[in-house]
Amino acid sequence: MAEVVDIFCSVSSKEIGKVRSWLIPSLCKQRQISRISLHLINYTGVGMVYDGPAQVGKVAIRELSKGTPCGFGEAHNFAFEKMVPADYFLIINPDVYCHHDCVSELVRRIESNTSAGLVEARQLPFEHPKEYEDSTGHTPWASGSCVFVKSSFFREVKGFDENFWMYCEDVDLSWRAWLNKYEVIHCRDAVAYHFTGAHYQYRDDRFYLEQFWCARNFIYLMYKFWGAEGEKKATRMLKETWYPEDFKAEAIKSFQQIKSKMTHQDCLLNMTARMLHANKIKVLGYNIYHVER
Amino acid sequence: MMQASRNCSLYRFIRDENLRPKILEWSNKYGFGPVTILKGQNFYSLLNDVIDNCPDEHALISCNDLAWPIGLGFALNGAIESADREFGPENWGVIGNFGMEYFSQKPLSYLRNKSCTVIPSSSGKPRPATFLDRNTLLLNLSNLRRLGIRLPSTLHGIHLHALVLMMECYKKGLVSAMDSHLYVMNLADFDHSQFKKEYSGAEFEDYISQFFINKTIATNHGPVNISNTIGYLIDPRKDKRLDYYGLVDQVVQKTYIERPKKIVTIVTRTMLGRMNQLFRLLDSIRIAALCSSDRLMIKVVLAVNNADPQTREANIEALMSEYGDLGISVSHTSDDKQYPRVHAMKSALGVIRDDSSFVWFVDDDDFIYPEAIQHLPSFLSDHSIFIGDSAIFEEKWEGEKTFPVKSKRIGTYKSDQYHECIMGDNKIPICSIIYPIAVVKQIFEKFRFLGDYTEDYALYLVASCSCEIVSMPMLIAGISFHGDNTILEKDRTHWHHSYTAFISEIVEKRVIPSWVCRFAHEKSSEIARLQAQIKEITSYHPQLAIPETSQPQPFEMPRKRWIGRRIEQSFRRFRKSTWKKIKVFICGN
Repeated sequence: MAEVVDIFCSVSSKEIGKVRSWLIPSLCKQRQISRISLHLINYTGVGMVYDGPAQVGKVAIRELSKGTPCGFGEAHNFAFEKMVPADYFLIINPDVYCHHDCVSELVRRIESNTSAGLVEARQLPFEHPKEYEDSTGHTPWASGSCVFVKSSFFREVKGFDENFWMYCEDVDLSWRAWLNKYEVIHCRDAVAYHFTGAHYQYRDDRFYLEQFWCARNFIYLMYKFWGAEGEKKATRMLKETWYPEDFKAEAIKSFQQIKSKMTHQDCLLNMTARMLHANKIKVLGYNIYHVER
Repeated sequence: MMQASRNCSLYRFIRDENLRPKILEWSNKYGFGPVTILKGQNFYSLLNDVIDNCPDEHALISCNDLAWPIGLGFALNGAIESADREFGPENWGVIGNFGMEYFSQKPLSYLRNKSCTVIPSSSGKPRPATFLDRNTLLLNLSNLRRLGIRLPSTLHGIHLHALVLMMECYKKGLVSAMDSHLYVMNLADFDHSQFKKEYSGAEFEDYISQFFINKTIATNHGPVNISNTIGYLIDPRKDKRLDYYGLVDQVVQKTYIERPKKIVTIVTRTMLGRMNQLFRLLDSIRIAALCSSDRLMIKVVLAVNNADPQTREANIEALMSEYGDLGISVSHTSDDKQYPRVHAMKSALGVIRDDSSFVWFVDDDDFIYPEAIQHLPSFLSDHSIFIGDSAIFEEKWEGEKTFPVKSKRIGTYKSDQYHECIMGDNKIPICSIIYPIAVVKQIFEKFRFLGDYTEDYALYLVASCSCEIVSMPMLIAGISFHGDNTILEKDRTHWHHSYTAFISEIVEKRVIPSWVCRFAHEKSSEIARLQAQIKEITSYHPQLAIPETSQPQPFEMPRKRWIGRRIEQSFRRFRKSTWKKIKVFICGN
């Protein structure tokens, strides 16, 4: 087992309460892990969000800030460059409570498999209905809410694609793992409790950021991996959804803004490589990247 | 002559001058006291007039064709006192009698009108609202004036001024609510077309989209849909508008912060035979305890019954050392007791000293939702039972693991089914209910409860007949179906005897009023008739038949929806094939 496990958590003042009351106490209770370095990335870039003690039990806590607001991918790329974690690091949501064996199971799994690029924890009580192979744990994509990342892989693929800002960047990273001959693994024995959202599901009286970014990033993802044909298909699929016209138009407009900044090299159009992983890199419907388990 | 409340003026808004004599006559005849009649086609400006010029601290505003109760003053005093007590005199803006409740997100009605004649139960206390109908509004003028609340001069109409007033109140931190003290009879017809015209007008849409991000506001008269902009999605840093429902939540929660701390004791009956599942429950309690606010304290009592004497002490010791931070108390039920489930409950109650606290029975294979804990203090009251939702999980457990190796959510026990318990079957699992401890203690003093299984149903049935019920569509617990559940036992003999024992005692003690039983019988006959009709229809149209489902069915089967879907699918097929035929007809093959 590693001497110290690095953990990155992107956070603002809205979520810091959960970090204090759930995440840190759960990290303190991790078995077989002697030390944890929790790096809180202040994604707002303004002031300080954590004012608690720098050491809680075995957990050393430190706040990082780029000084400018940044999306999920950018925040983690920044933390990775700054902290240079040795072998692997954990990306975790602020509202997660880790089961006491969660981190050690993830470490065990990533250390026992040299080709693992990403190892995701299992979320409870709402298990993600995503497919995975029982024997290998292979899964098309790993959720960014609690995922262990091999540093060499992250460096090789140049981290997260910052164009996503938030949502779907984990699907993109997972697909790039498969394309670069790394495995994406679902670890059933590593449990992360993620209760948030149980009650506060989407209400239909408003739209949520997740709905917007998922719509925009869906087209971007399809364009990135399938080129113009993917963009066309994704746009058509978005247009078939129930969202009102102005919502769809804004999502498409936002995608066009990224597209105008992209070069041909940004598109991952290696069809042969993609075909090799056709059972992993796939889109089964609007924003659906897996078979339901 | 009976007077209105001492510090409350009475107003009637009318559009037709001919009504003036009639209203004045009622006022004299029934002793309501002086009534100011304001005539106009724009109730926004009339309401502003009242805020600016009323000499009193409170004002009751009603529409024209509406019957107030004789003894109106008592009702108004009751409503004002009740709101002052519940929210604090400084914290409320307007009280109505017909609207959408914040807690349950359902319509509440304390009036009789042409579409609703059902007698309401008492609100118990004012219930915070997200929408109020304009028919009767009790304004707290001192708060409105203190905070400079007025309605925008850009708005006109007669239907939505109450909603706009509420929104302005919430923006300034005042609660709006409904109270049964304001029960009236509304004799007027509701003008739906005028209502729709008002909310779809540019004035109203501009008002909403200037301050709020919502595209729909739920009302008792149907959804108010607004063409709103989505700038807050594109750059939330620039678009600082509010989510209306989030704002209501924030204001209501804030008014409850000052309340005394509430104590909820989680009682878990256990034979210490499923330790790994019990660990899962205690984990969830620990997470809840970590995020419980200053307003709520969680305690845990393990009601140990029929535990294996060889391992009992060691297991308890293991629990105490692992979960020392939870301050667990243990109650023991001697093994010779015949009805361990009921006795375990009684013995646990003996451990709980504070009679003003609450009790939450959660079985050892289930768990709680920590998120719910933060919101519970607002809903818990000494005189009411709180009911939330429970999610059902199909699970597989292996060895010593303290989490299921497989888990799939398969349904939900919905809190809003609480009233169906009168039909003879339990729709609300025990972990969905939080009782005031005094209520449960009283029931156990009064009832013998000589049974074992279905004791949760018996307890709920009796409690629901003596208490108010606050139901909230909020997940508070998770229920595990793992194959070894007692509810799945094939031999039902013990279940049947227990059920009979409980229900016969409840019947003999006249818990349920006879007319309620009669009403339920009528309803069940109606359901039987409907079922016969469905059977007949499906014999002609077998494609509409309901699929066979395996027993037990602990959660709502989407029967109607399923039939609806089949009809919709057939319609789509029909539409598709017709379209194809038309296409072939026009374009050829």
